[in-house]
Amino acid sequence: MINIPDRFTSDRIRLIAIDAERDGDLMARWSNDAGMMRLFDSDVPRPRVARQTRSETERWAYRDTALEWAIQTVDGEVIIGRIGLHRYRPSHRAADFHVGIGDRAHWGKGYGREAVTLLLNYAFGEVDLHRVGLIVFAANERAVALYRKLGFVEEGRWRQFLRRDGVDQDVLVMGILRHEWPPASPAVRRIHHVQVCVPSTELDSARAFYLNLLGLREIDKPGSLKDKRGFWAELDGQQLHVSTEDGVDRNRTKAHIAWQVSALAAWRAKIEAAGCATLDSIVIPGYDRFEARDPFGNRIEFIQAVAP
Amino acid sequence: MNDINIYEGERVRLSALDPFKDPEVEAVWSHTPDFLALYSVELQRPTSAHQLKKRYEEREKNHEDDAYEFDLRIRLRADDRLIGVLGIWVEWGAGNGWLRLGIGLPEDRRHGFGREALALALRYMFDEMNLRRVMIGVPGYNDAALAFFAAAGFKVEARQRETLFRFGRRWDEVNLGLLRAEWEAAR
Repeated sequence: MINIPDRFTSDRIRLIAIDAERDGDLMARWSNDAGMMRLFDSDVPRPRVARQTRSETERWAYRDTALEWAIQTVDGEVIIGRIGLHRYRPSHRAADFHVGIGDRAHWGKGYGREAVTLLLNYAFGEVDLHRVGLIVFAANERAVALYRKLGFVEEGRWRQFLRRDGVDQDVLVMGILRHEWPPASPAVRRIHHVQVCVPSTELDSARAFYLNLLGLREIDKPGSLKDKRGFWAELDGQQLHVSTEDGVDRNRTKAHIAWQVSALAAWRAKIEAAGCATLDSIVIPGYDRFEARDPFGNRIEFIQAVAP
Repeated sequence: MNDINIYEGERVRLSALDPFKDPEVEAVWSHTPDFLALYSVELQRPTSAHQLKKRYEEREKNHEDDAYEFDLRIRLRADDRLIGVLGIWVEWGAGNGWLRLGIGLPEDRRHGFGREALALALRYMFDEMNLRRVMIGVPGYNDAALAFFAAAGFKVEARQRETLFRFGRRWDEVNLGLLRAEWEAAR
């Protein structure tokens, strides 16, 4: 049996069906807050009585194809707003969404963020959309900041879309693609590169040691670093950057890079043949290893897993 | 007072939809491979004259869209032949009008008919409807339309990434906008 996700409930809110009878009075009350209605819609805000909000809601939210819900708090079961998908284009697997927390008392508490998160999980996980878009007044900074945080990308702006109080208002177009949701949490993925330093006069022998002896492959440095001394090398998707530093006694450092190798004994012979003294490391379970200093004094370790 | 017919250009005129005659011509367009792909982002499907007639009758009965939707036709003044479609959809609260324009048959394109129709439509939208801006959405693959509207002064305002699927792959939808001041300056 698969684990059936609850697409409509999160920590503090749930999305429930629209009910024009139940919500008529509430929506009429919201419609009387002109300042708030201005944030939701570019249309002229107008106060409504419940009879109007009911028939309007029935007209557009009761169609089979409508994807529209009321936002209800889990605690206290208070209806605080509306959310839904519109401009759903099935063959393009794309839609826009709209959301509003109707009562100012519930603003700034993260309800909108929870509701949009539920909606995006639904849009990408159930409706199988490729893109979800939105438009928002550029001046609505709180909303814009929320959408950015959720991973929406600014795709452009409709210039002077609306004029209110004598001021032109731009509208931002934002969108999020399936592979951009959910936004990645900040996490370290793997080691990208390590850097070692050699004396500035020793770059040729550093190439000989790391490229010829160890077998790393030199790669181009970015143009912006071309005039800096040193070189970059690559091994299996990870990089070693060799740079220069003078007036440092590298033989005194303990920090090191460990190279995982095959044929450890052969490596010990090769390293010694290159003129580097080797010594046994402290024994650890599961590995054979030895250590050495590269020709410039950097401590290095060679390690190989052994069968248990 | 200016006694000019704002619906008439040199060679084309804008007119109402004729729900009885136009479907015969539009049904032919709907069977050509490129018309719908170029004119709209809706799913392409061949449509019969009778289906179109029924659709137009239904729309006429409802009258709901009259206040903000203007479904016009482009005809040649010389012989009154229907050559294209021009749709306007108005957001009155914002003073913004969405425009769509298409010439039906390939052989009627590249004669400047579209350019004439666009000039008529823009004058209608700015001088009669008193709109503040006009905008269009163009599929990313329609280079000809992008160049056509750019030449008329429209500026690219947004690029809705990968929001369209056609010909087996994804495309951006490009939003272009023209402000009243820009239109007046280029007049």
